[in-house]
Amino acid sequence: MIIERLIERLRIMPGIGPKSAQRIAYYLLDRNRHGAIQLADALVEAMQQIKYCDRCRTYSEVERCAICCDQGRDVTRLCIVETPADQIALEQVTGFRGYYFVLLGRLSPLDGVGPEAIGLDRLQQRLQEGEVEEVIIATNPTAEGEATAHYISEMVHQHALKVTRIAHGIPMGGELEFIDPTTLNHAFNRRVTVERFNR
Amino acid sequence: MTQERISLEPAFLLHQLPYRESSALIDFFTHHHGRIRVLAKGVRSVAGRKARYGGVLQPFQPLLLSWGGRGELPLLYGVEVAGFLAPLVGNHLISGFYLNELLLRMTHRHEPHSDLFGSYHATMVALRQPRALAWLLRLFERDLLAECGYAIDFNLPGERSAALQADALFCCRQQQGIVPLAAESHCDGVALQGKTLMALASGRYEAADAATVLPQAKQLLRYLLSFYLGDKPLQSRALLQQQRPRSLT
Repeated sequence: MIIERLIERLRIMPGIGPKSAQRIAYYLLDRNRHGAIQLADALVEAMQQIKYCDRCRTYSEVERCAICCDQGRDVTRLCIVETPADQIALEQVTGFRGYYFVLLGRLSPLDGVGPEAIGLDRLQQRLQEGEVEEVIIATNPTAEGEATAHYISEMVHQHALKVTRIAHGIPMGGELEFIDPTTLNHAFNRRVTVERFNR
Repeated sequence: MTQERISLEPAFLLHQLPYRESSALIDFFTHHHGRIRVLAKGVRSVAGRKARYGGVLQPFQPLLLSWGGRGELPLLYGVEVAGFLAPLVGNHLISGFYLNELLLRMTHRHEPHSDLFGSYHATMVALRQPRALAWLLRLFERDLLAECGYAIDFNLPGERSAALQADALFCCRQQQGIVPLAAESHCDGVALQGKTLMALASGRYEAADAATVLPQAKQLLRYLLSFYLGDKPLQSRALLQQQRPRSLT
């Protein structure tokens, strides 16, 4: 009974079917009971204590996340992303030193996800505070992501602030021949001037 | 239910639902098979693996679709681009969602709607052109109602076509059709002028009539659609309305 329940519970994880769940359950019982207890504790702790940052909506165990608490960042720039994972990806490679706002989703009218569900009322307040000068919209280049970007840009324009959208184009290592038409069209039409390299 | 395999069928993607880790259930509107739902494997990216058909599997783009398999849920075998349309932007993009939501709400699966597919395709092309957005939406709504068996009858009873004088008043009531509205009588449906009906019948209106025709056509079609859509509001319409007071739908 207990073991069946464990297998059943393990299946809530993404990509874990009955076979994998059974394998994991037996592995933990056979080889790593101590590790499994630690995992169970960590799960309980995380699920009970991790909330959303009251400023940017990312996951945080305290009221305000570390990035939002960092006074050294540039308050005039705000980058809008769909998920905490997107925020981390950008944070790791861009050297961006402004603040973030995490939507935890995207506008998707056909799924019933409207502006409130992605915290745009909160974003509105943030813009009204008057510190932000540029809003960088880094939602995904999907139809829903573009709709979200459009909606947000209209909102930001009402505050007469600068709005930028991350570029999209040919991925590194890609081959033009096999690139989808929308990306290729966009990359070509928004081509950039190549500056002369000065030593 | 699809038994055999269908190859390279013209189609548009209407909506995707994530399914399991990397798959999706996708609703397409096809030329000869109406609205279908297929299981598309590996079309969402997971760590380390790129999504199949990445940039191709997008709404509002003409596609060629191959699918097949027995039972309720056929499998997607291939997607190709069938001619390229520029990406929709701004309110035109949200209007695209509106059209898709209408199709999802109004049509039944596996019911062929070839004419409506033509109308949808033409609307998709027209959405890329500098044309009045509202009127494009009205004409598609007109075609959708007709295709679903709720066509507006432009042949009026009584005085027949002569009654379709541009300025004459008519009253449209749910399930009762359009009747001439006698002077000073009350219309408990939607009151509109002959010129609006003529415009909807022919698909065009005189520029000078825009201020009458556009709002009346909007009111009429919304009234008729609401009967078939029921109480659940259209999410994409709400989004278009929140967007701007300047009326677009």
